[in-house]
Amino acid sequence: MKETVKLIITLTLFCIIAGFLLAWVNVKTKKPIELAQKNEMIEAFNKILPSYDNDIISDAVMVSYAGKEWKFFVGKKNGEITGTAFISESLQGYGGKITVACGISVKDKTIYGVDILQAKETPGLGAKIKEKKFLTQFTGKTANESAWAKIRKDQGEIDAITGATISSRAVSEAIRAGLEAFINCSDKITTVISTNLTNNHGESP
Amino acid sequence: MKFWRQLLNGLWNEIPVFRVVLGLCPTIAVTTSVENAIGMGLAATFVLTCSNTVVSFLRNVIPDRVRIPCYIVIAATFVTITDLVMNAYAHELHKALGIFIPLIVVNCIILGRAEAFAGKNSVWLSIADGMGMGIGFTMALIVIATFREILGNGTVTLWSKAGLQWQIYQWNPALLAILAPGGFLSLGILLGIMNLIQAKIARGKGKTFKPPMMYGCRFCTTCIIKDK
Repeated sequence: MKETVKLIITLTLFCIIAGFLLAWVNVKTKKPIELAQKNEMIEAFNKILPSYDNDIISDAVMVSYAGKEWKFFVGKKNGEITGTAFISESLQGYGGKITVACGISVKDKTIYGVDILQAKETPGLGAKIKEKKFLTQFTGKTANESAWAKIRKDQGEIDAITGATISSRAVSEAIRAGLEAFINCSDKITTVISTNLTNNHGESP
Repeated sequence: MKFWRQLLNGLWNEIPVFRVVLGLCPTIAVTTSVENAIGMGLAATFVLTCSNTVVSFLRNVIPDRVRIPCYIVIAATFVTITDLVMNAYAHELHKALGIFIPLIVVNCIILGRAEAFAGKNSVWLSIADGMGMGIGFTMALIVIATFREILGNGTVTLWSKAGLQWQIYQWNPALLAILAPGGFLSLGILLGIMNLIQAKIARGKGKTFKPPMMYGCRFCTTCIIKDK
């Protein structure tokens, strides 16, 4: 009995100390982790949006479409909106979730650029979705409709990577879902953006 | 002196993966590029050294009957710290290694060294053992990853973000090598080569070489330490 109590106390003490240590490290690393994730997003936005000079992470518009919350990041240059970007994901990748970022040029409503944020596809096959040759296919396509954002096998306009139909399809699907949200909510996005703009002007005379 | 001997022990005589055939799951999973191998190896080295130190320091406090849960709690704490710190300061690498960082907890090498060495030896020697085993593990991972990356992708990547990546050849690489089956094949081939080298060295010294199989008990190091 006495020994059992001793065992329980020892193990409990171990866990308590470990718990406190982890809590402390968690507090210490929370900010750097957020910063790293933010930098990662900004790095992607720099690639897929026309040049902007605002704090793009905080200038975002939330809209809900098809049961999902979509966040549209808005890029502005000299106070004028140049582009908007969304982050979308597909669970249909060969190695699980694929997260893509897609930038839309607001001026002519075309896709400005697409980048893969996160993917665990097979190296040498599915991982080729990260290559320029595949991603530049999306550039310049219209953002007014979404039916083209499918691979050719599914009557779309995207050439799938040889041997990686599933990965290519997942990327197209993620982009199509985001585009649909953009098309259906573009009115709302633009009104929110314009009200935001007037607010900003009011705040900084 | 004893410190260095214990450290070198992990680098050659009992090098993880090749001699102590432990930690194979992360080995096969992360050795698709040299960069991943180095990251995983260093993370494991850190966890191994820390857990060995703490286990050895507390070896008289930990009751024998709950020693395994205690070891696991210690290892898990350091793994989570590594996980968080890596996520904060080496975000790219953390993303590439993914699930395998948390899985260091169940890496047999960590628990194996705690049970077989740190739980019975002084703190100083346990640090040497942890560092030696960790560096040995890193070396083994780098060897396998170099082999697989050159064969399967035609490149050697030390640190892709800093541009430390070299194209070895241009023509079609043997993709199989970086897929999972290639991992098993590469590991088998390299294990064979390692046995051959060690047998040659042993014969050169006029000793007979015992391949790992002949030790029985799946080459568990615990008994070897006892026998000595």
